[in-house]
Amino acid sequence: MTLLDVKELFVNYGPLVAVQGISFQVRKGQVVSLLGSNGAGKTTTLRAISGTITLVGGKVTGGSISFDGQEITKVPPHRRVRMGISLVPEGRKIFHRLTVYENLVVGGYTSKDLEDRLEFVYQLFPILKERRNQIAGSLSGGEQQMLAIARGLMSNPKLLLLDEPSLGLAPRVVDVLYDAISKINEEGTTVLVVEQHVKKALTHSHYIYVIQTGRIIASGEPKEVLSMDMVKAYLG
Amino acid sequence: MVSATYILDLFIGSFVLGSMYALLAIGMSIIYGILRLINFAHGAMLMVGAYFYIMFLAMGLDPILSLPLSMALGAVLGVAIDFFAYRPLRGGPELSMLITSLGVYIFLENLVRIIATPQPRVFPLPEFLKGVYRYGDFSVRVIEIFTIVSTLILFAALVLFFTKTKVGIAMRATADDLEASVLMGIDANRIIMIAFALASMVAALTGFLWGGMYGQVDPTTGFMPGVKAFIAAVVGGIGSLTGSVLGGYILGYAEIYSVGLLPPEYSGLRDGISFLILIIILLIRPYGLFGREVERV
Repeated sequence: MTLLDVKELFVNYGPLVAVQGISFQVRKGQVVSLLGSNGAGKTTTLRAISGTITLVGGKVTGGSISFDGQEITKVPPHRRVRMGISLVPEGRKIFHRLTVYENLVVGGYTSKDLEDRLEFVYQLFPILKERRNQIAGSLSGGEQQMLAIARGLMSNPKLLLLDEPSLGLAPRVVDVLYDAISKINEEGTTVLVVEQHVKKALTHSHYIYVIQTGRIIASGEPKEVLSMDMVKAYLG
Repeated sequence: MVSATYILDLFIGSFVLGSMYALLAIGMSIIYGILRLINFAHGAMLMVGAYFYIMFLAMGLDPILSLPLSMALGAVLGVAIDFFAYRPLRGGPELSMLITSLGVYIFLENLVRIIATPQPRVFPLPEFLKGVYRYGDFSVRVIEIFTIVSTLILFAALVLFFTKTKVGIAMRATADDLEASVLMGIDANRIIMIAFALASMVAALTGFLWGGMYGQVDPTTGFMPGVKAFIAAVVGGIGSLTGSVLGGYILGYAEIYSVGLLPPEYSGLRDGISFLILIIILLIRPYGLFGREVERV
């Protein structure tokens, strides 16, 4: 069953067209990766899905996004969180001046079972429980990324969107994060990851889309995609 | 020679003035933190709050009822101003909101001038706040004690609100990163509304205290306190609540002690001293005592 259906999506920043008619689907229960190099339109696509595109001066100018059978293009971003979409943004964007615990509380702003959710994310990332009273800005990069993912899970989303979770992190930390992503998926959350880190995406995804200059240029299961010559050339 | 009682008098006077600056500065800081708006209209909310109180009294209501009612009406007015004046400008350049806030100040001052005449009005304190306690040479007014106590209670309440309640923590999160807070399912407009309600309610209370302390109000009453609160907020590091409180007290103490201890012919320098403090602090710490560098995007 399709959870997220993006059709012919166009996104503009003023006169600049960042996404040019992208179409793709995410099936319930899967981990799907959107691969592509810098500036390909990956982050813009995630922002369009989460609705925060308007906050950065962008606009969906064409196409549709439906989530769980509902057209959401006109739904304000905070309402999309209540519907079950959670974006862990590029650059983490944790609340630097708040404690780890407070970050998680804010993550669970829409949640009714705060204690259960806390239990869940503390189990996923035990380090966060240890550091719960620490100011989030003082965490290491890897810990901040864990916090960003944990915070995104506090609303108990149906669909978790991850924007470059491995960016700038040591390989060992990336392993921990992807193990956690697999666990999150096993618990029933559908995941859409945007990555430049091709290897990780290939080994942890059910389905892959490759995006270049605002268009999908290839898609398929990891093995199929990997065997395509043009993809090899593009992703290196 | 300056007597110990005189120093103590100045101490109380400074605490009272500093408390009122701090209350106003907190409001400015809350709004700045979330909207990056220096709300020049905030001083007018003090003045309007004082007039609301007088209005409720004139309607024959009990003073003890009039104070909370004037605070509530102040909150409603603050939310209305945000809705009509600032919300349409969100997403535009920050300068438009800043200029609009100046416009709102001028509008409010003149509106009150039309409705209530430009003449100063006696500010009638409730009976229980009128007294004076005397201990030998030393005396303290009940309204002074009331100002200090109510300010301290309010500080404690605000600390609890911002650290223990979900909405309070969400407000701090929104001030930290508005885009990220939207991703948490927070309705930014609702948070901004609460910020205006809270700040304006506190400003209305400050108006009551100000009127009570000085015995009268007129339509321009809010101007200087507004400027001083702005200085206090900047000195403390605008956006930081602790900084605003500290900034308020620094200004209060500097003003009262400089007037009290300098020869009388220098007392006209009172306002100048506030600006001098501002300049010195900004030279040493450009972001204020508790401020942090604003990220440029």
